[in-house]
Amino acid sequence: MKKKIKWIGLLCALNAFFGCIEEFEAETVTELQSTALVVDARVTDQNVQQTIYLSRLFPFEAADPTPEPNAQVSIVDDLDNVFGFQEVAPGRYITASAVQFVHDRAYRLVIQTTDGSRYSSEAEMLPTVVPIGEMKAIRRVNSAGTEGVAITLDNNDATGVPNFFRFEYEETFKIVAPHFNPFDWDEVDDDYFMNDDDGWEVTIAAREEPALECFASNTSNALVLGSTERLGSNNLDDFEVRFLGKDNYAIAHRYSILVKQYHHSVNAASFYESLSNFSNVESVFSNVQTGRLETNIRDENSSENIVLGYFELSSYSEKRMFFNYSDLFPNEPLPPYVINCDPVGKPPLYPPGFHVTEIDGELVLDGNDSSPLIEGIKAGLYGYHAENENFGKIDGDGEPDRAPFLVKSLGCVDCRKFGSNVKPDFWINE
Amino acid sequence: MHNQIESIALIGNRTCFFGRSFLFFFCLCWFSSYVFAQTTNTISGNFSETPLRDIILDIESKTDYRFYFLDDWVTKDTVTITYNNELVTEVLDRVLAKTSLNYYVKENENRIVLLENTLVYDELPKGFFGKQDEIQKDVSNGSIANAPPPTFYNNDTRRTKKKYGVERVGRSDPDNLRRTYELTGKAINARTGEPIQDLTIRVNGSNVVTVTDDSGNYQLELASGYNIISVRAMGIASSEREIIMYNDGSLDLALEEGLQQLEEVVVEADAAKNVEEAITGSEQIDSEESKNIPLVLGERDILQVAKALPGISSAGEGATGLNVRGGKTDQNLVLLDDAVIYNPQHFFGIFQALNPFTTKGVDIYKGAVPVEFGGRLSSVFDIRTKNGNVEKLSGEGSIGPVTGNLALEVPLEKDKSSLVIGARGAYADWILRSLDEESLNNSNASFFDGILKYHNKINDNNEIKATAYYSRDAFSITSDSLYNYNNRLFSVRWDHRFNSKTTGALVLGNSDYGFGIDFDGQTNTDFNLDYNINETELKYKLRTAINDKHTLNYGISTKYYNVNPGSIEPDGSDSNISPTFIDEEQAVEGAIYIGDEFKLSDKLLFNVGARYAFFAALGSGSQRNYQEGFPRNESTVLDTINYGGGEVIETYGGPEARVSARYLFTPDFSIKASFNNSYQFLHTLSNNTTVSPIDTWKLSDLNIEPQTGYQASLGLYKNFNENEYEISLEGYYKRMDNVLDFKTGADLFLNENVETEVLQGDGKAYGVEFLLKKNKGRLNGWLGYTYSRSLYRFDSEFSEERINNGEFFASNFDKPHDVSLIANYRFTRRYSVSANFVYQTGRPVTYPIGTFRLNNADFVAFSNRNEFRIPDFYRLDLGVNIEGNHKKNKLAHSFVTISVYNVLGRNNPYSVFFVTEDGEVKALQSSIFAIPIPSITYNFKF
Repeated sequence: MKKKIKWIGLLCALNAFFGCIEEFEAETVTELQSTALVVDARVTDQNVQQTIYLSRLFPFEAADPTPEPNAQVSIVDDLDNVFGFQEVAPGRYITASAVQFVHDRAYRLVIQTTDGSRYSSEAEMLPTVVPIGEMKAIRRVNSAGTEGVAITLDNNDATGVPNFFRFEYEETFKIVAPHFNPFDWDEVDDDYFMNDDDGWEVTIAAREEPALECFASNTSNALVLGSTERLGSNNLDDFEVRFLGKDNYAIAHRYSILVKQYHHSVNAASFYESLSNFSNVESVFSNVQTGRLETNIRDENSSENIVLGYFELSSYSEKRMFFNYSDLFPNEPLPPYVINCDPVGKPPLYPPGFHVTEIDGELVLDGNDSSPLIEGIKAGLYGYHAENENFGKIDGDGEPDRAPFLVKSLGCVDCRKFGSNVKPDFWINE
Repeated sequence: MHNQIESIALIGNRTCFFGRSFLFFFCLCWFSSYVFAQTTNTISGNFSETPLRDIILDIESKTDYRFYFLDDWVTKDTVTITYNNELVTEVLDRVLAKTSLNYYVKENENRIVLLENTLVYDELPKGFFGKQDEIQKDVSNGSIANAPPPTFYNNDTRRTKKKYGVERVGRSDPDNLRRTYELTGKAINARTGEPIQDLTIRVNGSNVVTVTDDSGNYQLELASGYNIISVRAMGIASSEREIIMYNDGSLDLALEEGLQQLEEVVVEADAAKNVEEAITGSEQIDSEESKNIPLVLGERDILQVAKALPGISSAGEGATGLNVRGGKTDQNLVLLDDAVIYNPQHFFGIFQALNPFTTKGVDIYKGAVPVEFGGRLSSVFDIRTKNGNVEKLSGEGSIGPVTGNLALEVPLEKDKSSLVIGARGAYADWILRSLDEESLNNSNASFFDGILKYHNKINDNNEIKATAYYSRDAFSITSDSLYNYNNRLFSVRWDHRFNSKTTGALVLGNSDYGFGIDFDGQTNTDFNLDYNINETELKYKLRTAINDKHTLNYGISTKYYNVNPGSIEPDGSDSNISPTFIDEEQAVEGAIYIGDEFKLSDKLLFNVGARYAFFAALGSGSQRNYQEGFPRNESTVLDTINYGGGEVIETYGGPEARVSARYLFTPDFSIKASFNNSYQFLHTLSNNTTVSPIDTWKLSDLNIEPQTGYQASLGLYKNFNENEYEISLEGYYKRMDNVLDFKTGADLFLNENVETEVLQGDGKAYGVEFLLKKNKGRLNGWLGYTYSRSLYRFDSEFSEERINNGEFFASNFDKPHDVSLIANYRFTRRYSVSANFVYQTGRPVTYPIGTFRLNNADFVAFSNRNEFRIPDFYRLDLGVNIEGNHKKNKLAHSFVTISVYNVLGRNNPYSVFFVTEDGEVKALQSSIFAIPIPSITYNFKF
């Protein structure tokens, strides 16, 4: 419901007038609270092995969080039934078997860490099941003026109270390599002094693996929140879960999205809403007052100990849909490929000025001399495009052409650069 | 010699009975001398380069006349003259023609008296005789109405002292010879006949000084014999008088105003006001005077100028609202012609929402607030609109890069009534549209304000003023939503003078503030969202000057509020939005007050006031009752009480004290102290770090108590060099209770139970403000330095109702060090340069303590509020002001300002954000004006 004013674009464009937002390298300025436990506990009513992740707050300078190992994690219901979790990887705790949480029970999350702290959540109950109804892919222009496809859904609830939802999605789409070549690199001899003593060598051969059509997947990492709070009914109607611009390659051929709907409590919604507000720029002029997030998990022995995350108990519903680009944009040019495939490269097998020196009877390559072609192939940069007909010929500068092959960026030739050539089980063609 | 002089005094004495007019007196003198001379003998003589004295003695010897004169008068001149059988008077006319002497013939006594005081009068143009002195004795003064004190000090370039004759006072009484005699009299303005008060009369060569009272009367002890007194007053040409005292007597002084073309009119109504008045922490900004100060985009802005004064600041460049002495932005009472203006700023505080050409200026009270004002804890901004020109149509306008302004002053009835019309608009849209950025094609940002003021001075006792004002801002960045807010106000004021001691004003005002969001998007959730507050105030205030020592200010005011706290309605028939209307809120606020300016002695002045503030929240409406001792939330609701229309929900109120005292060490050096407390019954709800245009005002109700505040201040004030320099040092300490804040992440708008999100805590603020001002000369401006702190505390037994563990933390606008320099240097009348420099400690921001991963994405964690500061802020603005030439008959007078804002190009961070994009945390900092911004504004006046 809440509309964000996206000022950033405006302000940057208006730099001369009204300031700008620019990125800076954040540093951790305060003493890191080593006690801040992060609880990622999104538990649903699905009959599956439930997973909870525990980690610690980490500084800006670090790339990944420190997992919290060896904790005792369990969910306890109001009849004192205990559902234990086991650590299967550092910080990753799962139930031993599939667990089905039920709707008329209250559940608490209890965590005991190795430092002796004991954390517990408030008792939460599963909200009602609200199945996802119709899902649509609609061609439209969004509020920023971009044309594209909106993935929308309806859902259906008969109860009389407002509903709060969080959405995740997994999108999968077909990739077609624009410069697919049935030939691929074969022998790539990068040891100049190998036994055959024929120097550097690259050969091509017919491809063994399919590389024309692939399937790539993305998992959502943005917070998508929806509610019926201000709506006339308690149903979401035409709710936009995802918007893809027309120039997004993901929709170039065939696209599929699995929308996962988590129906959670008003308090969970409020937590996620705040989290979302704190991690978005609303306006350069007025930004929301950030602060400590209220959560339903507490350190039982200290009210000052910060706990991050929320014990979210939700009713789950999911739905998948497919569409083709041509369904929505018939006879319109395809979105550009993931990368620019226009350039054709001619990497030399031997760099200019390459030579070998004899030192104490041993042949030694000078300095860092290496083959640009071979290094590129090894780094996964080049895909075979064609033979170079001018290989070995003297060009206008009196130099011989040193490139045996013409190359393209690997992704233009081989779709596996961006996805897998294995068709997912759920995939339905047309 | 004594005899001669005596006779002249007698003449003066007698002629006075003919009338007050000195013209009459002189005509009579001349007339009589001719008449009598015609009956006298003729004489002959022939002199060449002969001393005047010899000629006079020669005439004396040839006639029956006795001459009376001082030797001094007749020894310096020599005369060449031949006369044959001519009348004595004719001879004297010629003899004395080139001297400074006059003569008077007393025919029946055969005396001729010479007077040395005719030169001045001879040179006066016709009609100026009315300005001559009148010598009176024992004539009681007619009661002349109290005239207002002169407001303008004419910086008269003609400093030459006018030569007046020697005045002889009193008739020597051999039985009552004294060393000193008393001189009494009255100073009047020669042109208007009004008494001149506060005229300083100084006896040269002594320390004797006196000042005329309200009626222009004075009393002075003078040594017998010859004295020179000099007189001086604002608006009056300084002059010296020679007086010879023979006895007690009176001398009325008719004094001229400065008559020459004024070079500059300097507002100096109360040159030493800062030292003399009792109240602390008051400032005054004149809109016209502020025109030289370079501000962003060449816009004249008294609110921005106010920020350059100690104790007044804002959270940052793009922050709406002002923070006065550590108070929140909702604690300022901003009045435009007596009616409240809720948001006096356009476009996130970058521009003022006031037309600079119709605005006269603002009085700011940040310390001791006068007893007539109340309802806000921190300050009063009393903004006044000009009275229109009652003589001729005049106007002023400006064209700048972003706005155009026009103001017209239309006389309706000459010297009585007029209309001021002002309009102002922004044309920023073209900037947005001209940018080569597709996504901005649909964005716009515009604002407008207009004002209409009627003024009628019906007579000396009645004056009517009426103001209507409207301002509107609208902006949209995405194509689907339009934000707007508007102020509307109307006020009528009737000033009435009951008698010379009591004046009163009856004020009726209505103010309205509202904002809205119109969302028209692709989905079926189009809506219109609105907020509105409306208040109507009736105020009756009186001022009675009981005597020299006591002046009473007293009155009563009452206000009615009606608030629509928020509503949302579907836009279009296919919208899925359900209409929601939060219950309207109503309340009355009233106050009754009395204050006394009590002058205990010349040195000690008190300003003591008491005010009783009252507030009642009224139905209809419903209020929740929460369980005591538990946090307020859904689960602790005991019951919901419904109130009928007009039913009292809750009342609040209490006494407020306004006490100030001033002690003058010397006439230009004082110490002042003040204490005051106040209640505030309405609050802004905002979950932003700075004010946002969609913050709402909430009335106190069953669950939200009024804010209260106390402030004590102490200051020293000194003026130097005839008020050319002002220096002051003022310290304050302030406590605030029940100030509002919110639970982190609170959702405030359209929340029916806002009290569950509101925290009420206390605040304290203290500081020392130093100000050095130079008011005159080529270089003028001021330097201010403030050290201040602003701290708040929200404590509770429940962790969810605490901020920073219930300890004091720095507010968003806590900037301990604040230096402001405003300087203007005038090269010539036409060219001046000005500079504006600001340095401030960076404001506190809430900074993350680290990053955490949740659901495949990283977020930052915040802990304590405002523990980090953004880098210090500094900025230098420069401007060149070019006045058009001053030719009299030009169509319009022009004034061009060329300014560069942020000359140093300092990228002052305004805020920091931590955004999660694609699951990764990005640290961003924003700045509002990161590069130098040049602008040219053309102003014209006709």
